[in-house]
Amino acid sequence: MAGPAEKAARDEAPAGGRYDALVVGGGIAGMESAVSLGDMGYRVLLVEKEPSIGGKMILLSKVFPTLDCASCISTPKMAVAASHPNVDLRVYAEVREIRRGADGAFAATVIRKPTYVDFEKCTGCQDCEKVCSVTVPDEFNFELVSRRAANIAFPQAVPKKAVITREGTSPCTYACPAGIKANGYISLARRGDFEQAFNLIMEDAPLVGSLGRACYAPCQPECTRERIGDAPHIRLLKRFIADWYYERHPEPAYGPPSERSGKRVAVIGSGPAGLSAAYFLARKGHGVTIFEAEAKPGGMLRSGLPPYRLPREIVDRDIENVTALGVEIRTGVRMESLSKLRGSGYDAVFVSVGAPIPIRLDIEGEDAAGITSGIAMLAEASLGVKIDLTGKRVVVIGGGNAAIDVARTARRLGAASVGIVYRRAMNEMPASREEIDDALAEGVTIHERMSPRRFVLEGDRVAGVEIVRSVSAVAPDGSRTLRYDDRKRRTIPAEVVFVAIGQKSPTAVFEREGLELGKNGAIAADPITLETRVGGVFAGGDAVTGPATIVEAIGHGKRAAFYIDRRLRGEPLEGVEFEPKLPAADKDAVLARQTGYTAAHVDMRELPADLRIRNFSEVQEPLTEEEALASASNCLNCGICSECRQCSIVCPAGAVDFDMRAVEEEIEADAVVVSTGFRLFPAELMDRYGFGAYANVVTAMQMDRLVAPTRPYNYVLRPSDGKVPNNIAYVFCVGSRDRTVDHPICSRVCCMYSIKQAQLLLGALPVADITMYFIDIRAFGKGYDEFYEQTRGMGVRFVKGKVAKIAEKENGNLVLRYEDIDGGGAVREAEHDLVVLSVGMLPNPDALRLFAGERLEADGTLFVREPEEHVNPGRTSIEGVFAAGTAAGPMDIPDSILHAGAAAAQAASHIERSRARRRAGVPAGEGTEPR
Amino acid sequence: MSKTFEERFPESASLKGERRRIAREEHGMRRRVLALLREGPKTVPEIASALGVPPREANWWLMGYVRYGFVRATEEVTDEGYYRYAIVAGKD
Ligand SMILES: Cc1cc2nc3c(=O)[nH]c(=O)nc-3n(C[C@H](O)[C@H](O)[C@H](O)COP(=O)(O)OP(=O)(O)OC[C@H]3O[C@@H](n4cnc5c(N)ncnc54)[C@H](O)[C@@H]3O)c2cc1C
Ligand code: SF4
Ligand code: SF4
Repeated sequence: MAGPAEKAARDEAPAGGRYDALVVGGGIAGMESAVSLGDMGYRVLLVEKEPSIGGKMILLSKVFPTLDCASCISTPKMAVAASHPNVDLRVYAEVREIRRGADGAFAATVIRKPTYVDFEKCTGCQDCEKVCSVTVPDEFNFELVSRRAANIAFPQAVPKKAVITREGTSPCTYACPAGIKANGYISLARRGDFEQAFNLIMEDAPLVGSLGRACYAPCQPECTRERIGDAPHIRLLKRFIADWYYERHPEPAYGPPSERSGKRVAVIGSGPAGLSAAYFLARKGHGVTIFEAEAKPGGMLRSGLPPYRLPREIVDRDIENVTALGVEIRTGVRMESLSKLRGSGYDAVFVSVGAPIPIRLDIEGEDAAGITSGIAMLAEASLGVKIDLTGKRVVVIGGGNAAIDVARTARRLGAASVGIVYRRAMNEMPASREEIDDALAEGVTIHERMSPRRFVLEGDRVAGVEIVRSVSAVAPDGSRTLRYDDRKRRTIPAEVVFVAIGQKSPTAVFEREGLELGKNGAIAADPITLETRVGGVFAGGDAVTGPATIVEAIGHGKRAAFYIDRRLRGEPLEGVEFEPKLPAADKDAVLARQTGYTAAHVDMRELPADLRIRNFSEVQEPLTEEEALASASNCLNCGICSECRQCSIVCPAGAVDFDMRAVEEEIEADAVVVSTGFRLFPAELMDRYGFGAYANVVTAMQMDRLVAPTRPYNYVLRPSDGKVPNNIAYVFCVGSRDRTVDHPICSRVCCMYSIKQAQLLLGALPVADITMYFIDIRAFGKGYDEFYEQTRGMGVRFVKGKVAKIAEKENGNLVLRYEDIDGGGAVREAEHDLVVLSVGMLPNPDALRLFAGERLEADGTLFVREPEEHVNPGRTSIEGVFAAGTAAGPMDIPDSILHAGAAAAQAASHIERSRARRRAGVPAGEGTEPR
Repeated sequence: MSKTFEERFPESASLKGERRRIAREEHGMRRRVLALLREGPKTVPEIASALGVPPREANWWLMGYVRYGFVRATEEVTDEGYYRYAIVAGKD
């Protein structure tokens, strides 16, 4: 027979989703009702919102008054509920909108939340937990310790399967055009796993070092922590990771993949787009050749980016990440024919020729000596061609990143002055703000809102630029235009002018072969697949977008590789989503869910401006290891799971599936059993007891965990400092029988569980003093009073008295002020080193929200109302709906089981009547329910 | 009774938030704690004062390291009632 876990993993709804009964809530009561109904032969659907059934009981230590181990008695029940042939189980699921259908039966939507772990594959080995990089408070230990984002609820979970907690894609990761898991590598760096962090980045982008320096980092402004300060320095962390790794691995640690597809792909252009496409295609086993017109590979990384931002050794090492896979780069080959490639046996082509051709201004005097394109100057400078600008007045025309790079390079080449002429306002410049600021710091001036009208010449050389004021205006069609105010005209003297107003792509040659070109030669490609009009020919990077960024180009290369691979395998391109992401995590929610931000303040350091303009040394200084760890520690793990992928790497069953999404199921049932249980009174509402503020004030539920064999600590210890307590107080009736907190009723279990815990504590801490501050003891069940007397006899002190206030001492001990009722009502004080609040049971408001159309009535305390409690226990205000266990009011485990049995019997007779009515053809709701 | 459940029994967001912060810092502190324990087994107050953090937080993290097998409690309890914690072999 299949084990319970296996069965739970593959339970399938009967035809039409038709059940006899729907049981909502899989605590002891829900399991009891479901199993009883199943035993009677009814088809039951049991829905539990947590990853495991068992409710609160499975988290308890032992049960009163027998002191049987709670998990020993609930695990068999859990196993039966999960493996019962008539009971289908949905854990980590929610029921939405139970409505009554035309035939009187209920219809409901069951939503299975994504677990991101395939339950059919997961073996419960817990390997994922061990490596997970994210820690959150463990709700199954009532937040006494952490658990991991990848987690199995508790050791006896049924089903024993891991679930990954995700609350969207972290904003940094979401913002990355290449899909790099910023939150993932930050989480790994935080604990010093730099090698894993590097490998994670390599899953999304091979040019780690280049990105760590020259990426414009669209993640950074999106970082949630930017709102409160001390955001992690995301790009610098990536740089640290790359440098750390390259120092230890001068060469890639891998070679070509052993499995070859036998297919060949040609890539035209070795910029970031081409390198990225080649890398991802080669990893899939395809043979890749890159054709590069220039003498060295790298595209703009080599010819465009000034070395003060990106040292060339880094580019070389990054490219080795690609060539190590067996990718061949043929430099000095200008490939201008797609058909030639086809003829030479390439199965697909990726065109990534970038946008290296400067656009002209087309104004008077532009061909004079001394005027060149900025992009050509950058290329020459990076190839080491000597350009001497010493003493020259330089003007740069343009406002993009290239213009800024040109201006800053000119400063380093000795220019006496450098002015940028930009037609709109400085804050409208497309260049990155960081770069603009750096340029200003280096003494570059910006002439904003000015446009060049003509060049002033002296002989055949440029002597100045005539500029006029330009005014931005919005045309009637909404587009922005510029007007020129010729009255505001002046000439800036200049011996050298660089024009950097944009670039176009060298793609005209491909037009005759069928590619469609847009503005500035941009290739038209499908935005999803990046396939061009010509089948098998894909394009990406600047050649498609126009001048953009390294990281966008890398993203394109990866995307194209994904679809090219599908093409080569003969799989359809339509209908497959490339790297589906969860929506970005809501920043307000992220900030709302945590308070108190300790911050490790880490400054970013740059060479001082006056030093850095003397040469091409890198401007930004790296983080030290200490700084990297500290900066990474500031991350808030916005999406909870960081997508560090360590779990999927270690999982021996391959069960982790980040693409899993919620599944909705429509079901029908004749009867509904509501067994949603209770909630615990939030002890922090009783200000005077200091729960939350004082570490050594705990709830009884926390104490039940501390004394359980599966306890969160290595022993019974107090949370403030790990000391073994030896003088413990219990405060009874916290949040029960108390009108000041709007909960006047008795919770019926607190006296008994406190007494139970006292006995267990005496077993664990034989020398401890235990004092119970009670109002009166309610020991009404079978054997309960004897249990109480026995506990008294063991030396536990019972003090009849109401605790008015608790105060904390410096050493973590607590001083209780109480009214000593038996002692004549005197107010006394007593000191203890641990205080347990015997918190009461509250209703679970979920119960009342389950139904649409009909109202499930509550009693005055918001528990589900049983209108005929004495004659028909379990029956509720809605015909066919029954309450089981603590959903209907406070009760202990034996009573919950009894009550659940009664609810099951009521449900069974309702099911029978519904069947009879349907057989007789009587319409729903017409006098079938005996009242 | 017109008030909703949430109005009657609001849970403290700041309390939950505080625990979330402590939990979030567990991995970041691990190297520092393990480095300290390399010198020899230590109690929670000793670790806390060496790191300059509240003992409550040190206790929280340490219990996490115990749970996931980086650290173990030694047998004896000090006269003041504290366990000493040591690195698990192979984790340093
Ligand atoms: C500190 C403490 C100690 C205790 N010790 C004892 C003891 O020793 N002996 C004893 O007899 N009793 C004890 N009790 C009482 C005991 O815990 C309860 O009697 C018992 O757990 C009630 O079971 P239940 O199924 O009604 O509710 P719960 O245990 O609360 O189970 C309800 C289940 O429903 C699920 N659920 C809730 N809402 C939904 C929804 N919308 N959709 C799907 N699922 C949902 C929940 O996740 C949960 O699994 C103790 C209580 C406390 C607080
Ligand atoms: S991806 Fe990383 S953070 Fe997310 S669950 Fe897996 S191991 Fe944990
Ligand atoms: S706080 Fe961390 S996870 Fe959130 S956006 Fe910033 S870096 Fe990303």
